[in-house]
Amino acid sequence: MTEWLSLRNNLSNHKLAEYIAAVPAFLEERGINLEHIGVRDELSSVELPPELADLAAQLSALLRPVRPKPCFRAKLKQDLLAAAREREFTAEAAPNILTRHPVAMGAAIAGSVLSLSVAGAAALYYYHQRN
Amino acid sequence: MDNNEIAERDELAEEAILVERAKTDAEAFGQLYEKYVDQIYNYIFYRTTNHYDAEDLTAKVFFNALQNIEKYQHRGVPFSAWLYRIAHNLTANWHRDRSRRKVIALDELALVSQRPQPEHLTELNNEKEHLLNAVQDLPADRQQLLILKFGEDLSNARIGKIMGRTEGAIKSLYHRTLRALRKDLQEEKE
Repeated sequence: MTEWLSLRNNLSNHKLAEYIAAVPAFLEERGINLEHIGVRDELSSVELPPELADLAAQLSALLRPVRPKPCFRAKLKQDLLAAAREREFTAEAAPNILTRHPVAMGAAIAGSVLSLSVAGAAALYYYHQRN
Repeated sequence: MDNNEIAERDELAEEAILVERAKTDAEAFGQLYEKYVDQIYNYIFYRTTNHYDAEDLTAKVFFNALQNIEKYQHRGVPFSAWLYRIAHNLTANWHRDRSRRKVIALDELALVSQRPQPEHLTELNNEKEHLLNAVQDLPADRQQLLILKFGEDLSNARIGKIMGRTEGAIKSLYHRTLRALRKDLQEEKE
């Protein structure tokens, strides 16, 4: 591993890309099955002609992961959780009126029916009086 | 089916359960956020190349996801595929708005330039700067492929699932992208 690290530091991107591109054929010659060591996909992706492998190495150095600032990450999570909890509360609140206060709901429905009936009777009486 | 495929299938099944919970449970949504916020931020950062807009658009992606998660249906692909689609649409709108608004307010410009860039981007030499510009001129799907491949170190199979294409199509797109980039860079040199 130490040898590899010192070699890696002294290699140009172009040389490194050439070596990597040669790895699948080298392993195949030695009878090492890439699928068994779990690198089939990773290596197949670098089976590129040297000029493209060089460009891929440059892209790899350029497009390194950029992460959000911890304070932004934490604040956004806090805001999202608050919004999600509010949504949970709203979703729970609607059915709870019916389930938690059945007497109040029953009274309201009965009251509405009664008032409609009284209004209907009054209208009927008024109609009969006129005719 | 090899071990990787079995592991991936199990992971997707677990994620599908988490997504169902997230439709009604804030904590479950928080877990999805933790799992994907870094990836989405990274994608948006390279599409916009500034932290200010990357933060703004990342927040919009997750609020949009929270608003619409009830309608989300699991179709055997990672949940991130949906998040990337939202991010893609929002960055496309962002680019469209910027191209319309040709004059940028001075205070906005100052705000953007004050934000420190990542170390590997502050020390860009001429060659790297050209490469970054060439990447940004690529069509959105090719940019996404490169960001997922190099920024997130994802396999072609995984990228295929996220982008709704086969592994073979991703390999082919990757080769075509590299060739196109190389051609662009050579033309620029000439």
